[in-house]
Order: sequence, then C-alpha cells, then structure tokens
Amino acid sequence: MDEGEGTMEPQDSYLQIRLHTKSPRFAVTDIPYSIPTTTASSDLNLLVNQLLGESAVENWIPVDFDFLINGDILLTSVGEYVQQQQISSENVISIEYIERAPAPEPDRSLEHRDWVSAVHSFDDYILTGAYDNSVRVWNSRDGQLVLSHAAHTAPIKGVCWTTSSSFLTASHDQTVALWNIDEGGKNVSPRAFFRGHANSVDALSLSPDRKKFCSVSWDKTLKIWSLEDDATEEIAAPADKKFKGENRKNLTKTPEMTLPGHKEAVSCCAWTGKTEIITGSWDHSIRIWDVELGGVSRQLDSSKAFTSLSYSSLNRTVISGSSDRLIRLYDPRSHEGSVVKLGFLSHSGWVSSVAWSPNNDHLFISGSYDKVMKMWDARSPKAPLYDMAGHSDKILCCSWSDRNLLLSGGADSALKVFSAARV
Amino acid sequence: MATSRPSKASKRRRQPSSDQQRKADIVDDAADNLVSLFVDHPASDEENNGDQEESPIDGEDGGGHEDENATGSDASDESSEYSDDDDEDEDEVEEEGSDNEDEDEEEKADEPVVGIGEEMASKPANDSALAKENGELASSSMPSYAVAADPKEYDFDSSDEEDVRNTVGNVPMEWYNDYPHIGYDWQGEKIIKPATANEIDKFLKRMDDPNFWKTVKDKLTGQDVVLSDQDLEIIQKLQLGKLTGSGEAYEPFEDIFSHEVMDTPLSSRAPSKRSFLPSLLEKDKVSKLVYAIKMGLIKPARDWKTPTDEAEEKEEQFYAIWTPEESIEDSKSARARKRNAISAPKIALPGHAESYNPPAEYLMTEKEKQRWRAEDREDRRLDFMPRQYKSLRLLPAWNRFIKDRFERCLDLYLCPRQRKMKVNVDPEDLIPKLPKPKDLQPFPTTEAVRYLGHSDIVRSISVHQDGQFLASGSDDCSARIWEVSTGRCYKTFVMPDPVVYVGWCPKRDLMLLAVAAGSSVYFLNPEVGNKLVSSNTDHLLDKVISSDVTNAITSFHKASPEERKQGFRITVRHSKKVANLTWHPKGDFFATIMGEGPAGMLIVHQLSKLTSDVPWKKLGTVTKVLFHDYVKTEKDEEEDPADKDPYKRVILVALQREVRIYNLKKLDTVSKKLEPNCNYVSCMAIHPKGDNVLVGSYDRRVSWFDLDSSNKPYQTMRHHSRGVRQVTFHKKYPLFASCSDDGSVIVSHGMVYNDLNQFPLIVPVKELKGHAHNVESGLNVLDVQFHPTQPWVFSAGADRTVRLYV
Amino acid sequence: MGKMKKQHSSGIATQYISRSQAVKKLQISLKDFRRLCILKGIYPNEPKNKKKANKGSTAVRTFYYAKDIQFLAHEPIIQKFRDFKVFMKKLKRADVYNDPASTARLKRNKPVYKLDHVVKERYPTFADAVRDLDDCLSMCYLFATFSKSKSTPERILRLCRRLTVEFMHYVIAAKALRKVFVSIKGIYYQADVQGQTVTWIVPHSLPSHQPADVDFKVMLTFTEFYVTMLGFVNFNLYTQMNLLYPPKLAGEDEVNRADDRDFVSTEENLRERVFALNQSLATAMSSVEEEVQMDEFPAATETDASAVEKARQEFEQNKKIGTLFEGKKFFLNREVPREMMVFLIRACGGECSWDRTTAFGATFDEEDKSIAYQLVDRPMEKKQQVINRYYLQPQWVFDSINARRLLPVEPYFVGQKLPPHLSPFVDNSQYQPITAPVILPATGFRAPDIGQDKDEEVSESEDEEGNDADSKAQQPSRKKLRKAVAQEKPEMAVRRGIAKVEDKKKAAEQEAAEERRLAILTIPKKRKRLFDQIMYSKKAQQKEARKLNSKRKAIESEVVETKKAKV
Repeated sequence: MDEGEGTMEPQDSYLQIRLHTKSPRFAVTDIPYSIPTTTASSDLNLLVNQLLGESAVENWIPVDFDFLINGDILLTSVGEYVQQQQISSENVISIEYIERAPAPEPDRSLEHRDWVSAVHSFDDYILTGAYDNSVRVWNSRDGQLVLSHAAHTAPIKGVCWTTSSSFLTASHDQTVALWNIDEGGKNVSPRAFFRGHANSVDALSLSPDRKKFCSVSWDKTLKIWSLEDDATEEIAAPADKKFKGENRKNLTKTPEMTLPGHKEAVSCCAWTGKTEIITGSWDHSIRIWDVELGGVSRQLDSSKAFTSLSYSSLNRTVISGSSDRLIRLYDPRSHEGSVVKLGFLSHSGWVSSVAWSPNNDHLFISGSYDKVMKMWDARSPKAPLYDMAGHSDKILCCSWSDRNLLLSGGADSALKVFSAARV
Repeated sequence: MATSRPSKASKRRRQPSSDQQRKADIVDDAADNLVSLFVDHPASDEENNGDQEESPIDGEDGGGHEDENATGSDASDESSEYSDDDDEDEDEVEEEGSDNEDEDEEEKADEPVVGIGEEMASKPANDSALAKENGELASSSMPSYAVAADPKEYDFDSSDEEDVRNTVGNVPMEWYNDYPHIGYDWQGEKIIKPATANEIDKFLKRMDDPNFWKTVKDKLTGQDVVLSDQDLEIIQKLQLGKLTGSGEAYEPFEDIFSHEVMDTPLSSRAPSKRSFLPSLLEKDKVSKLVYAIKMGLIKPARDWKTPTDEAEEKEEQFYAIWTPEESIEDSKSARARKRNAISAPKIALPGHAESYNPPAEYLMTEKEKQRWRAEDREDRRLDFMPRQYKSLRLLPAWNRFIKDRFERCLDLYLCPRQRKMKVNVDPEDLIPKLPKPKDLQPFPTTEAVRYLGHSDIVRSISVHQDGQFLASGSDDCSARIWEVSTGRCYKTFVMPDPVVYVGWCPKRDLMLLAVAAGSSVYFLNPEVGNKLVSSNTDHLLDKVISSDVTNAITSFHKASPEERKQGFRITVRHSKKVANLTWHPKGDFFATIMGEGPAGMLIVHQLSKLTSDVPWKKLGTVTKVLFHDYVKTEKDEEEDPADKDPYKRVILVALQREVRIYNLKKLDTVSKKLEPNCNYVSCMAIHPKGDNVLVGSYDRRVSWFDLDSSNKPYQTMRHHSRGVRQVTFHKKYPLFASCSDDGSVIVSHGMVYNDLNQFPLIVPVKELKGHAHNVESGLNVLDVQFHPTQPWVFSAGADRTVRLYV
Repeated sequence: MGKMKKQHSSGIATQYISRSQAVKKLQISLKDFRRLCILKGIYPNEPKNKKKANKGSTAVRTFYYAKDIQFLAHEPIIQKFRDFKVFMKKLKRADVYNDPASTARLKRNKPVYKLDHVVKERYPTFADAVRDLDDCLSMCYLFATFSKSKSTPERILRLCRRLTVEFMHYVIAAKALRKVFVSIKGIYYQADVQGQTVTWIVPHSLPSHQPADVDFKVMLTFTEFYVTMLGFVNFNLYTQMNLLYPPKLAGEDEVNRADDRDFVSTEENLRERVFALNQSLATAMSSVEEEVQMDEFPAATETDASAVEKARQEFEQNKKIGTLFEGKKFFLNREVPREMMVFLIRACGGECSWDRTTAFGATFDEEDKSIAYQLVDRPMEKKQQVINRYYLQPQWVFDSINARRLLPVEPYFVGQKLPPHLSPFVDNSQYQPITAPVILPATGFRAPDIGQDKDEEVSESEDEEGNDADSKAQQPSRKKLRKAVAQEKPEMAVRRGIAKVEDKKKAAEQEAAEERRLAILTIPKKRKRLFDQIMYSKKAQQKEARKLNSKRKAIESEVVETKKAKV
C-alpha cells in the first residue's frame, strides 16, 4: 500500500491530553484524558461542558470554550495541530481552555455621502469624518444621523470626542479644530482652530487626562496641543474666510510643543501614558516620545511604513497596522530591541487601522483594504476569531467603542456597525 | 595403326553430326548424303581397281579419307577407292599431297590434345572430302551427271579447284557477309567472293537457263552448283522423311580391315621419312611453353576447386590477431587520426512502446493513429505503431527490418560525423549564481492600491516629491491627482486633448504640475498638500508672467481667471504636437519634444525667462531627453578649471539608435555617445549618482551603461518579451524598474558601488503582473515610477488603472 | 614585410578534403571508394567551419579528414581493386572471344582480398572490437536469415550463420546474457562481453519481403568486413574461454556413435548439433572455473563507496542471471521459436529440449518426468497437461531474465492474458508503467504511482508561471475578495475566522520557483540557448509521462466501468 493513506487515516491513534484553565469557575479535575486525534475543539467543548456538568452542583448551562495548546487557539483537529507543530504525540499535551468571545452581531450600516475616513464613538454617539470635509454624529442606538457639519475645507483624517459634547477633527487642510455641540444638539460651533501643521494632519489622539491632545501630520512632526481655553493666545495670522464670517473672536491656537524627528510623514499616534506618546511613521519606525523631555525615548524599527497603531492600557502592548498584510504586536516596554512579539497574518491587503478592545485585554479588531474587518484574540496569531464582511471597498478606519460596538468606515462611504457582546 | 583406327573412328563419328547441326543449309545435307549415294553404286568398282596399285600411300590415305567421311557409316572401302582420283591429282600437284600428309601429321601431333585443336585439324580434311565429292561428280563418267560432261566444268574441277577449298571451318558463313572475301584457302589467302550477278542477270539467267531451278550456291565456295536428278531425288526423300539410298537399311557389316595382321601389306611403299621426324613446329611450341613455365609466366594450375571450397578453407583461417603482449606504436599522423576519430553512435535502445505486448497506455488512440498516419516518416516520433499481440505466436516479422539495417549502414559510412558538446550539464549550473532576492529586500512585491477613475489609457504618471500625491495623465483628456495611501482621487483637471505627459516640478518649494496635452504644455497648481508652497508658487508665477509672451517657436500664455480657478497657470503653445517633456532637476528649465508621433524636435524652455529655443538645429528626431546635474569629479575639474560651478550639468538626448550626452556649458560638442545597438530607443533613466544610465528600447532590450567605463552597454537585459516602454531608477533604494507591452513590470536590484573598480550588481528581484492587456491599442503597461521615499512602485496601464505595488 | 600568405593554405582548409578530391587523389572509382570507406571504417566529417573548409565556397559538399584519405592511400586493398578491374576486363574479353579455357583459368586465379589486417588496424585491441560489435552482430544475424541470391553469395550467408551460432555458444558458455526484449521489430539481446555491454537485434522470422530501395551490395560489403571481424572476435573469445575453435561439442564421440546411423557424415552431424545450440562446447582443457571475487577497496569518498556498493550488487545480480534456470528443465512446444528460447534458457543455466521430430538436437522427450516448465504458445486444454509441470507462455522467460529472478508463474499460465512485456533498457524515472495487467483497485491491486505525484508537481510548476508566490499564498482570501466584489453590496456577515494554514514547505518551494524564474532571466544569451534546449527536452519527457498517466487512468476507469456493468 502507498504511505499516503497511512498518513491520512491513522484511525486507531489516540492522544494524551490534560485540560486546565485559569478561571477557577470552570476548573475541572486535572487528570490526563486520551482522545482520538480527530477530536476538534467542538468535541473538546462537549467534553469540558460534560465534565463541568457532572462536577457542578446546580444544573449547568453550557459555555463555549476556546482551547489553547501552548498559547494559540485550536482551530483544526488536535491531530492535525500536533502534526503541524511537530509536537511529539507520546507525552501528554496540556490544553488550556478559555471562555470563547461570543460572535459579534451585524448591527447596522450607516450610509455617508463620501468615503468615511475617521470614526470615534463615545457613549451612544458615533462621530465620523468623511472625505466630503464634513463630520457627522450618529446615534448608535437607532442609527439616526444626529448632526452633520462641513467642518473643513479638505477631507477629514481624524476625529475624536473630547467630552460628550465636544470633539476634535483633524483635516487634510492642515488644521485641527475643536467643536462644541450646543444644547439643541443640532448644530455645531467651533471653539478653536489649531494651526501650525505644514501639511495634512493625519491623526490625533487625546491624552488620558483629556487636557492635551497630540496630532501627527504629513509634515513629519508630532505636535502637542493643550485643550485648556486659557492656553489660547491671539495670532495675527488670519483664519479661513469661512470661519471669519461665523465667529468674531479669533480662535486660532498654536502648538504647545512640536516634536520633529521622524524622517517621513507621521501617520498615527497614541498616548501610552500621562506623558508618553507613541507614533508610527512612514519612515518605518515607531517612536515613543516623552512629553516632559520633549524627545524620543525609544524607537522601534520595522521594514514597513506604519498606517495605524493602537495601544491597550490593559495589557500595555501596541498593535500596529502597516503597509503590508501583517499586524504586528509590540511591547513598548520590553527592552530587547524592536522585536515584534507577535505577527497576525490573515488579511490580504494593507491593514489600514487597528483598535484594541477597551475592556478585554486579549481582543482587538483590524480593518484592511481587503474589505474585511477581523476580530482577533491576541493569543491566536494563526487565525482571527471572526471575520466581519460587509464593506464593498477598502476599510479606512475602525474603532471599538466602550459600548462594545465594532465600527468600520470605508471607501464604500458606509459605516458598518457590529455589536459585540460583553465578555 | 590398324588398332588405333576404331578409336579414331569413334572419335570422329561425333564430329560431323555436330557439323550437321551447324550447317543447316540444304546443300551440305545433300553433300553428306551424296557420299552414301555413291555407296549405292558398286558398278564403278572395277574401273578403279587398277589404279590401286599406282597409289602406294592409299591405305594410309584411305584411312584418312575413311575417317573423314565416316558419316556414311559403312562406306569405308568404296571411299578408299574413290579417293584415288585425289591421289592422281596429288601426283599432279606435289605440294598438295604433302599438304594432305601434313594435315595427317598434324592430326597425329594433335591426337593427345583434346578439343579445339583437333577439330581445327579435321575440318580441312572434311572439306577436302566435300570438294572431292564434287570432284567425283566431275570425273565419273556416268550419264546421269549432265553437268560433269562439259569440259569447262572439268577444268574447274581440275587442280585449281583446290584453291577454292575454304578453310574457315564451321564458322557461320554469314559472318563473311560484309567482307569482300568468303574465307581463307589452305595458304591463308583470302578467297574472294565470285562476282555475284545482279538482279537483271539473275532474271535473264532464270529466263534462259533451264537448270536454274536446280542451281544452288555453295556457301563455302560461293560457286553455283547444279543439282543432279539423284540429288533431287535424295532431297525429295529427305523431305518425305524417307531413307535415302536404296531400300535395305540394314546390310550385313563386313569390315575389310581385321585385327589380324595380313602377311602382305596392302601397299609396298615404304613409309615416308617425314613421318618419323618430330615436327619442328611442335618443338618450338613446346619449348616456348617450357620457357614460360620456367620463367613463371604460366602458373602451374592448382587442383581445381569450387569457390565455395575456397571459402571453406578461408573460413578456417581465423587466428589470434590480438596478441595481448604487443604494443602498437603508431606514426604521428596515425595517432592524430586516432585522436580525432569519432566512433559511431550506438543504436537507440527500444522503449516500452516497442514491446510486442506493451502496457495498454502505450497503445495509440484512434486520434493518435490518424495523426501518426498523416505525418510523414521523417517527423514521426515513433517510426512504428505500437501494437499489442496476445501471444508470441501471432507476432509477425517486421517488414522494415532490412531497410532499417540498410539505413543504419548508410548512416555508418555516408553521414558526416561531428563531435558535439555533450550537454550533460545540470541546467541549474547554467543559471548564474546571484544573491537571493529576499536578501535584497525591500522591494515591491504585491499590489496594494488601485487608482480607479480614468476612463481611458493612462499614459503617464508622476509622484510628488514628498510622496503624498500622485499625478496621472490619460487619453480621456484628463489629468488626475491621487492620494497615494488611499487611492482617493483628489482633483481632476480636464484638458482639451489627450494627455501624453504629466510631471511635477522637481523644485521642492513649488507645487507645480506640467501637463503635456496636444500641442501645448499646461502648468497647473493643484493646490494639494502644503498650502504655503502652493501660494508661494502662485506668487512666483505671477511675478514670472504678467502677460502673454510669444517667441519664435512657442508662445507662453497666462491663464485667464476662470482657467485659474480650474488650476491652470501658464500654457505653452507649440506649433506641433508635444510628444514628451522633461524637467530640469532645478525646476527652471524644461525640454519638450515636438513632432507627430513619439519622436520629434527638441526644444528647451526656461520657465523663469519664458524663453524657448532649439539648441541643435539639425539633430535627428529625438525620442527622449533627460537633464542631469551631478557633482563634478576631479576629471571634470581639470577638463575646464574655468567655471566654478560645483555641478556638472549634462543633457542626454536619445536619438533613434543612439544616446548623446552634451555638456550644457558647451552644447556644440558631443561629450559622449552611447550605442545601445538597438533599433529604437524608447526610454532612458539615469542613476541618481549620475554615472550609470539605463536605456530601454522597443526591441525588448534594456541596456545598462556605465558612463565611466565605455559607451557600449555594461549589461543588456532581455527580460521582457515585448517592447520596453519605461525604465526608471529609485531615488533612495538600489532599485530600478522596467515596464513593457508584455504586461509585466520587472523590478531589479541595481546596486552601484562607490569604488569605481567594482562593477554594478544587477539582479532582477520581482516580476509584477496584473495589468490587463488592452486589445484595441495593443498597449499594456505604459509608465512606471517609484515612490520617492518608499520602496514602492506605481504602474500606469492601458487598462485605465494605476496600480501601486508595495 | 614577409611574403604574403596564400589563402586556404593552412588551418581547416587543409585539414579537410572533399569527397571528389579524395576520389581523384586515390584514383579509384567512386564505387570502389565507397567500398573502401566501408571496409576501412572511414566516414565523412563535418568541419567546424564549413565555409573555410570549403575554401570559401558555400557549395554543399561532404568532407573527409585529409589524414584519413592519406591513410587510405596506403591501403593494399586498393591495389586489389585495381587488379580486380583488370581481371574483369580480361574475363569479359575471354568470354567475348568465347574462350572457355582462359575463362576458366582467369576465374581460377581471380584476385581476392583479405580483411584481416583491416580488422587489426581498425581495432588495435580486442576491447575495441568488442565495443563495436553491435552492428556487426545485428548484420550477421540478418544475413544468416537470407537465402542465396546474386547479391548475397552463399559463402557469406553460411559464414554468417556459423559465426552467429558460435557467438551464441560463447554467450551461453560465458553466461554473458544480461537482457532480452521482444519488440515488434525484432528480438533485442544484451550481453556483457568482457565487461562491455553488447546489444544486438535479431529479426523475428525470415523477413519475407525484400525492399526494392535497398542496395544489397552496400550491405554485402559491410557484411564482408563484419564476418571477418566476428570470426576473429569469436576466435579470441573462444580461446579466452579456452574452448575449442572451431567449436566441438563436449563428449562428442559417443554422441556420434549414437547418432551416426541416421546421419550420413559426422561433420554434417556435428554442424547440426552445434547449430542446435543444445549442447555445451568442448573445452580445450578441463580448467577449474575459479570464482571471481569482488575485492573491496577502502572507498575514498562516500560517493565512491556507493559506487563500489552498486558495482558489487550489479555483479551479484549478473551472477544470478547465469544461474537463473539452474537445474530447471524446459520443454519447448513446436510453435515456440526454438533457437531463441534455447539460447535464452541455456544462457541462464537451464536445459531444454523439444520434440525430436521438430528439429535435430533434442536431448529428452516430453514424457520426461523431470521437466519443470513446458513453454506453450497456443491454447491448450487442461487435460492435455501433465500434472507436475508448469505450462507457461514464453514471455515468462523473458520477464524472468529481465527481472533477474523467477517471476511468479500464475500470470503466465497458458490462456492467461499476459502482463505487459516491458523494455529492460529504459529507466522508469519519468514514468513507471504498471507491471501487472490493469486490474480493479477493488481486487486490492494498487499500482505504485511514481509518475503521478511527479506530474502533479510538474503541473504546479507550470501554472505557477503567471502569478507570483505571495498571491498564491493568499489564494483563498483572494477568492473571498472576488466573491465580495461579485455581489455589489455584500451583506454584513460574521464568519468564524479560518486559520490560514500556509505550510512552510509549499511557500518555500514557490519562493524558490520564483527566484529561479527570475534568475533564468539573467542567463547570458549564449548559455540561454543550451539551457532552453535542456529544459525543452525535460518538459517533453514530463509531458510524455503525464500523457501516459492520463491514458492509464482512462483505461483503468473504463475497466472499472465494464466490471460494474457486468455486476
């Protein structure tokens, strides 16, 4: 007989496994089980639930689990996995199981007039910036357009809520603007224009204490601005005529601090601490700036231009999307060089934006030019947890709201909303 | 003597019979028969008896005679008597008798010899017999012989009749037809044919000669003979198949000569002396032979063998020619021959298909069979059709076997041999060992962004220096500005004509885009990116151009307010279509190529002064032009220490077949001439360092020139399968790319080292495909440009898209 | 300055000489020149630079080495040719003059030439001769089948027959036979003579139809030389085997006593016996056959070691062939081609016989109990068969010899459909045909498909050309994308993430393949041609293999169909 079959169908072979978990409420007795190699995670799921059911005092409601063999989530049958990883099937394989993140539900799609380039949400309100130079505020409960305002003279690149009634917009017209929503909640008034960038402002990020924000621009600089009103001073430079008409008093503000250093356009930024900002640039580097010192504290080098990054305060790591298919996970505090801790490879196009879950230290989402948004578990770099399709063109921005809404805006001028159940 | 006779007779008896066969003509038959005819006439005996005494040699002679006409088996005695007449004649004419005897002697001499000689000897005798018979006819006094009566006939019959004896023997007489003579007499003299009567004489003769009807011609002598009645009768008998002669066929045979010796000899004449002497003739014949044998002229005959026997004996003669302990020393030439001797190639060994019972898959399907039959013998891959036989028994003979062997033979000795390089090299060894592409990263590998929006072929693209925006010009009469990172179209400028070229002004502090469309060049300010820069640009341009300026070749026009709203600033009108445009690195000069088609006249413009002029009046059609400034080397310094300009400014002008390099300082002299030996230069690119130039051509070649080394290509790359449209260098990375009508963009690693004696390293690292082929135009990828800072490459295709590969 | 050099007075122009020049130089007729070339093994040469060799003209000519022609000029045979010409003149004259005596005399001492010295100088050593034996044998075998005619004189034919038989006797005695292959063209034998492999082909039966467009004179000239050569070769072989030459049969005398009655002459008898091939030859002296031992040397390199190992195996195998049918008795039925089978069986140490009435030289009868195999080539009922012997079809013998072991007899029983008879000369690296007839997989027979996976990868490498490695790596997601594009407004959907299992091996392969493709672009022009040629041939082979596979699949499948239909 040919050996091909031999490899295909080892019907009789069994594997020794040992199940354990971190969460005490799902603990089972730690004894080795022997299972057929064909067992998939679903079977294991049954097994564990059964065990728990036996052990449980009151009747047990089954829970879905994911199973991790030394760190990554089991998606194939145990046998195949063992084969792929060349784990010796003699000794006992220890399988950790964790409660599986439930699948997000497709919620609704919010149609815009033009490409959606930026999104941020606060409470129930979703703020989107689009290429038609205007910002919109949506109610995430009923999906109603609360208000729409032509905020800039060029496409908007970044938006951010500062408070429940005020938000920042960064635009290609080299300005960042701070807006107020007045009581009616219907119309918007500018509170300040932050001028100083010599080229399009691509991203901005609010400091944890909501007193400052930073913006990065194509002019290779990172600028830090203060949101306190007292920090405003008069500047002779005339603002855009457009706004001249609207408001008498000059609202121009100048940067509190300008941090040059990147050799190329800076594309993304995030506060990683009270006085620390991390920026990604097209010069293939991630820099960590110390605001007090006003200089670069660390630099992580890569081989690709960065398009986006996201910092999770929960697990203190940074994920970055760049001009290739790989999502990279860095630990900014690790000091063994600029090592990529993990690489998540499943997208087939540029990863345009990434976002950590605000309240789960393992989950994050990524939007890509391949029109798919993916939800990942940081522990399984091999495969994403869920693929969220729906866009008919490039995804330009995505965000994970504190209300567990997964938002993605794209070049099909639509904002797709998925709701993830809280874990 | 007597004893010897019967043997002789028996010998002789064979003879005439053969004669008979030879002479088919009636006369001879008659002649033979006449002999027996005489036998029938015993009447004549008495007359002759008396004479017998007179002829002493009769017995002898008679013997001879008897021998001769032994045909009539039992007529010896009479013949002997009749022969006497001869003898008389002999007596009259001496030498004849001797002659006769000579003959006899010859006979004796010949006797041991077999075959031909003998016959020769006997023939004259025979003939003499005949002649004699005629003689008989004459001499006998029988009334029946009418002819014999007349004396004339007698004269004829007399001695001179001997002359007429013909010695030609039994050769067919017709051999003599076209000779004047009819044979030879005993002296070897020619016997001249008697004058033959012409037809008229014949006719007259027939008219008046009563005997004409029974007159026949003697072939041998050519004489006319009138047949007697007896002859006629005999002839008739023969014709009727009856016996000639009288009725009784079987007479008792009594022989005259018995074995017992008689006491009295028949004749008392002593045997002649001559008969005891050996013949001189024989003697010297023999001595000749002896001499020949002695001298080895005649080989003693071996014992006869058939060729096959010889063969047998030859076969046995195999022996050991290869004795092991021998050393072959050759002459120089022989060794040379051995050296370049080429042994014949062996016959190809058969494959499975040739088996008499091959695996089923080797048999031909119907279709294959048909194809096989259709092909002619030379280009068949198999010279036979695979067949499957159930058993060995059914296997027939291969009917081309002999032919095959024969062809093999022909190959062996007719077809020229040549020593060919045996290609047992591993093909992998032929592939040059180059660094692995993935060691040469970064370079673009995959398509990342598509820039969709153009509705027709995109001719030209250009990336802005700070890499945020991309400009593209298309046949749909529009130029567009794209955001590189997202593929968003920011601005669209509508032109009156299809756009052939777009190019950002290289000057960093200008936001100015040059667009060549139709017969004019438009300068636009797209107002994207840095506001300050664009406003500065406007100010500058306003300073430069206050009103329209017209000069010899071109005219500069200020944009009208509404044009200005659309972004237009300055328009440069030409007299003909503008085929191409090139910026000077400084952003002040720019050159256009004006003319129908891809090539034309070269015009250099200066934007700041709004001037334009033609530097070379009689320069051929220019296909491409490039400016380049580079920091001077010492060499350049000492060339002219005069000018203090730290840069060396050159202009590269591509004509159809060559590339000329001029120094901008002195345009009148060609400082260098590159020969890419191609038919039509399509594009050029110069390495940022300035000493290496890429030249692409429509005949599929990209040539890399090292300006320092020579004006011949350092390396010619035939990577594309169709005409090359554009080549370009990357400003930062050691990369260059070429695009072609075959739809591929090939990115190559072209590392130029700083020390001059290390050659550039050229490795193709990626082939980017994806652009769809545009059928109606036959074009495919038309332009390729690198991102100024990233290792990314943009390609503009005839499929209306611009693509970014990262 | 020196004297101006004349053109074409050196170099290639002087090395070569055209045929017409050669003929002129040798002063013989073209016919004789050809014969001379055949006998002396002189062949035309293709000059490196035709134009130069041709002294500048481009006319089509065949060229010989000037040295060769020079060498021919000294050949005594040329004189013989001239003598022969004279002889023919004389002869003609003689019978024109109708002079039988001199005709006879002339015929008697007609000039004949001998080729011994030619053999010697063409093959300075015995090894050379053996190396060149293939054509010689094939030709002699062919001529042995001819019947006497004007163009084929009897003596040559008989000689051919005799020599070929002698050679076969040698092969039998030396157990030198290696391979045999029954093709539709003829029977190929391969023997190992003194360490040289000699392959020759024997026609099946008398090739009846004699082609018109064959010049038998040429073949005859060849054969003239070949018989001489083969004669000497045989002689040498026999002496080295210390056999008697011309061959005598072992224990001849009593055989004679036995059979003289029914045969007129003993030498006739002897020849017949020799031709029957069925008895071993008499050795000059009874020498003990010393066992050849492969003595091992310390292998320098491991490759060396492997080579030595291979050599040893080869040696063992060959020894096996010699004793393949040791002690086995075969009986040949009438319809079985006798000579060939006898040759094969005896060369493999078996002994065989046949019905006395069919041919001379039978040693035992059909009734003999010790007969192990009876070779039958026609349908035959069970009841005719004797119980304790196999009734096999002849192919079993061929296949066993090629397999170097006694194959299982079952498939070869009388009336069985024979398994395919494969050529032992091809290496099945490209495609391994099934050696058993196509049987259903159901019956548990599975052919090891070596060719199959090969051609899979081939097709891989082919369709790899178009798209590059990465794009292949992300094939599935690409598909997804395309789907998304297809439906204009795709539904919002959530799918469980699929693990992208990109197996390293494949990726590596693809990368390597692409690197290779790019590297190929950089092959310089002159090398490229060669490279393309090699690649072309490789491709062709693979294509062939692929075709065969597809065909076989088709056949198997349809066999299955038919079986199904039956059931």
